[in-house]
Amino acid sequence: MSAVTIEGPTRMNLLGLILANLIERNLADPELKRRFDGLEGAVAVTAGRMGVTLRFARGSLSVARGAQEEGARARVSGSLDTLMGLALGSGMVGPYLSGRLKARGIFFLLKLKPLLRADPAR
Amino acid sequence: MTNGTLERARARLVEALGAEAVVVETGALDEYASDYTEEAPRRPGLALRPARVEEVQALVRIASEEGLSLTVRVAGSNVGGLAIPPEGGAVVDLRRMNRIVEVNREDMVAVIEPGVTWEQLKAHLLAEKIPLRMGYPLSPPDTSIVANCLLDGLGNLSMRYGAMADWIGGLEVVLPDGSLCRTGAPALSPVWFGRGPLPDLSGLFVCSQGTTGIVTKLGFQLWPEPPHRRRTFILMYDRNGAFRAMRELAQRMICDDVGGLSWPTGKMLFGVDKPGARDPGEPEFFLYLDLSGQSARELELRAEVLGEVLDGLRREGFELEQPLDVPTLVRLNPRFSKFAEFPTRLEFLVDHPGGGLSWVGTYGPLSRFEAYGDRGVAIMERFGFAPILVSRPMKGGHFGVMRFIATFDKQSAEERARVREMSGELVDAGVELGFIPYKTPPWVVERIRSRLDPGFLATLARVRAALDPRGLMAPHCWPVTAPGRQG
Repeated sequence: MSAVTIEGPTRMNLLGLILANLIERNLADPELKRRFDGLEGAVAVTAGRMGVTLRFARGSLSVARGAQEEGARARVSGSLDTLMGLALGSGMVGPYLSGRLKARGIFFLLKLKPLLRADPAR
Repeated sequence: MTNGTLERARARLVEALGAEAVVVETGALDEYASDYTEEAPRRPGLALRPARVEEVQALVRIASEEGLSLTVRVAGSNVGGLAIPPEGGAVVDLRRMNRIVEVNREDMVAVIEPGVTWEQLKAHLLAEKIPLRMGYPLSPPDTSIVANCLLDGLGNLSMRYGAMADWIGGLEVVLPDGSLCRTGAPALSPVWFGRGPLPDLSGLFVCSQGTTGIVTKLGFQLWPEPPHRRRTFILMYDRNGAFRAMRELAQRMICDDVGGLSWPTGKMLFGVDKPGARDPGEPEFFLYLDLSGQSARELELRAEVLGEVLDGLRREGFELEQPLDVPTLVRLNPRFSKFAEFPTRLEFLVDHPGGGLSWVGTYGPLSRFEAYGDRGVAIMERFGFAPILVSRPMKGGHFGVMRFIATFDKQSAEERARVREMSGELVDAGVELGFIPYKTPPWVVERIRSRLDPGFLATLARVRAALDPRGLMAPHCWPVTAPGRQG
């Protein structure tokens, strides 16, 4: 059984599908899997007008449509371009300082970020 | 046709073609009885697999004498029942006729037989280091180039060079009486360079779906391979914005290809077989563009003009993301590699669990894309299907394609019936708006017949009766009646 589940996959938006796919692929890397296994808590992600909530539970993740900020340990929002840029390797600081990226719960996000990299080996 | 007549025809065909080229076993005939679509299966009486033009001539003569109907088929990925023969008729399977007769580098034309596939010709060009390219359809790599050209399909160079019938450099055809005819340039010239300037008899065999003869060779136009290429996708939040972009970009002629796919295709690429309702906040259309140049500088200039067009759209209030090139998308999800190189097999359309694929494809004016898009999407949603829409401007924007695609469970009679009813409404909506169905299935011909110009219908019927007086060539296709003849 996959460690990543999508709640209501037929109705999941593109953002949720992209993030779930990235994380699932990265679990093949033992170091990233260890990092994943240590995560607990929810992250609300908004890209443009799309939102998803990632709920980590020490070794499993469920992805739900809609960014539920209440009770979330971290929040991140920006344009889809900006968020894809993070996945493709750009740093968080530049977009954050320029206002293109809004984030709260920065320490949790820093733990999560390697799991969202499109090609972590680079 | 009675069993006795079929048996006599079979015996004569075995004598002429050899036993291995005449298929009568029930199991082997199964593959010819159906296609991807909701069309009901029809069992052929036999299948013929000629390898040479002389064999095609022989089988056509025998079929004519014995009253055996002939329906041509190549790869078998046909849609709309075109290649499913009438019950008990014969299928002419042309896969063994797969010779690349010649590739003329200087005049940029390949002369090919009907069994030649997209992947085969591409591999040949690569192996021979011939720096020419062709336009590819979105159909699987093992489909026939000749069939696509004769059905006036489209490909990723259609924005620039028009529909595939425009790429024909001449034909060799076996007529319904078994005689051989060359049309276009090869009627006089050793080079298969075009359909003119003689009277365009090639047109008799284009979009005729095998009702006027069996094409055994085709001149297929190729183009120089540009040294610099870039394929990009742009996520657009508004379908009509995408149509607007297509018109703008087509008229500027900066792209080799401009096309669009609606949102369900993005989800299907991620493995969602049957996408449900769209999240109102997510992109509605994916625009894909091919840019090319003879130099890096030319490519950059084209990209610059593209950027100006996109900025203009943003200023008008359309929401869109920055272009993402295919290598970047592949990094995000390796499944995007399906769009990196053509020809490609889109498994989410042709290999999904339900197995059924049907579409209503039309060519029509770009000025009415928005209207047809609105109506088509509403129809598909009302019938409970994710609105898969593929569109593209063609020939510099003189017209374009609007194609509504449904995937479904072929085993479900209810779904098959629902697809057919929905497709009927999609055809009606398109025709009302001035769009014309292409690769027209027989049931669509029945549906649009009353709207067709009576003079067109009468002339078509007369041409067909003149070439095929016994009505044995694909008699189920283009069901029109000549004056004084039962259809």
